[in-house]
Amino acid sequence: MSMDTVKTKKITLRTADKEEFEVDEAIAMEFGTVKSFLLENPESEDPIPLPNVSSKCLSTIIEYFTSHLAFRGSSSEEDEAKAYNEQFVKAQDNESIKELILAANYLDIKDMLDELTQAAADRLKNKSVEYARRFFGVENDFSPEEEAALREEHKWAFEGVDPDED
Amino acid sequence: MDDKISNLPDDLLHRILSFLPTKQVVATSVLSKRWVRLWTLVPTLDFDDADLCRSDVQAKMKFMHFVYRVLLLNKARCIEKFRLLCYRIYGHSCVQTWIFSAMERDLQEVDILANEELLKLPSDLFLMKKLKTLKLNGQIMVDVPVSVCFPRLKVLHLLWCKYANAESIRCFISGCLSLEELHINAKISPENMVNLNISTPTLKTLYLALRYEFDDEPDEEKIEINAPALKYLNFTSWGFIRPTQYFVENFPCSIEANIIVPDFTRTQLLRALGSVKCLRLTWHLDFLVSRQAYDYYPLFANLTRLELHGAITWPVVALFVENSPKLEYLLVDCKKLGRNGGCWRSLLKPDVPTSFLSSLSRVCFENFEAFEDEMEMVEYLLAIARMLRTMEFYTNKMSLYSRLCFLEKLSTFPRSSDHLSTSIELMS
Repeated sequence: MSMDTVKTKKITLRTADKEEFEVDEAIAMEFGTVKSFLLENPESEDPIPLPNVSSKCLSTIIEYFTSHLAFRGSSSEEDEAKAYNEQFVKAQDNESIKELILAANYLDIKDMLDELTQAAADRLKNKSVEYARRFFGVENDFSPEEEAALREEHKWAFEGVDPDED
Repeated sequence: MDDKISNLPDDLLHRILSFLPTKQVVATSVLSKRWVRLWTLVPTLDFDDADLCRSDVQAKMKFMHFVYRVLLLNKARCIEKFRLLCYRIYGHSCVQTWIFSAMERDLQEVDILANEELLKLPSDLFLMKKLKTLKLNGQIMVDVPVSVCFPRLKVLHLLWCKYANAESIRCFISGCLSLEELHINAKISPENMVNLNISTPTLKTLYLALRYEFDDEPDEEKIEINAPALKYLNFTSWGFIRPTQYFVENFPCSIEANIIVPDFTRTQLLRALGSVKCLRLTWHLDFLVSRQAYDYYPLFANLTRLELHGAITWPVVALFVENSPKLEYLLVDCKKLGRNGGCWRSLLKPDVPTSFLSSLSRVCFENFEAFEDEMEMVEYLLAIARMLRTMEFYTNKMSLYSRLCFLEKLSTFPRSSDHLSTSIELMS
């Protein structure tokens, strides 16, 4: 092994709330939008602005990738990644999941977006209409008659839903 | 609530909803006015009539009405996943119509369960080159064209299907260029003969379950497996005990195999498994292996982990152990073990080399009751396994007193290992 230290290139990212994060190039290249930017502007030293991502979100995402890159190349990579993803998702509340989905979408991180959207779906599965409204932050703008008529149209969709636990 | 955060755009909502059953997706139409038509662009169709609360005609009509409506109103340009699970009968023309109407949408994943008589898989399905997953379950007639080709198909399940001819399965598999997971459940009878030739360079996981239905002794049966990339094999068969030839070419060394069959002596399966690393065997008929069968067992040159369950006998256990020079872990489930009242060691080959079992380090006995023949095996292993580190006993029938007596007796057995720990626990 060489005695020289390898200098990992650092990329600076600036979030919506004007905080700056220095990340390893390896992690930054996981973000599709950042990767394209860097390929087009390889010499740029300026911090890359991410106006649609909060610092809370970005630090969570960086933590996710730091862990994932540590598994990469190991023989039990798949199992370790799976276990980590389960814990990661469990630790996020509904609001964070939505925020992370928006961030992963903006940053163009396909795998993470798949994980998060699946997690959101798992939380919604078999829950009532009311729960879905709360989850998505939706106001019911139907009159009772309008809602009743809609429910009648797709009768079978509204049969036998489990009661919510929370 | 912060509006910006809560308001996910439509395409992200579609993505989330695409993981949910269509029943729930359609229910989102009442969330608010914005959501009334949102569900119509979700790129999956997932119908499961197990949700039907009752089986009567009215309930079935509601389901049929629902499926027809959704198929008409869903306007997604391409449907990635089509799942149709019909546990009840609706008439084959109805179910056929449903399947046809989904075929036009660029499907990547198809999962159909149906038990309609006369249901035939549409030939258009074989033109769907983007297919990644295909699962068929039930009495569906599968007529495989000779030129079948699925370049992207990774997962294929054919469970209890009917085939137009005996070569259908072989043909189908040979047309799948990237197959990784294969499940086949088949009933094999004089009316339904199937050539089980599984040749695929990419297959990693194979589940094979075969039910034989023959009235009299059939001719020799052949099963051919040529899968050099295989990592896991799960093979179950039941029905008549049949002489079966297993031709296995290029069987990889590193494989985990879980086998449940009535009888190993009349099949060449064990010989074919000679190169496996991990093996879990379950015999499921009660009978005692005859002495002649003893010469039959191959040398398990790579076997490191072995689990034996079901109706085997102690001589067979000993035989496996003697034929596995690299064995590290052994588990024996004593529950259904054929008991011939001790003295089974007289049935063994006399010229057993003393250098074997140099790697056996852990032994577990499940459903242990300290019977005479079980104790004989314990004594035998203690005497020959020089590197044994742990011997664990799991019981659910022994009282505290009997467990203590057993441990006392155990301490009197001579052992060739210097670092042995033993334990006896109640099974959970």
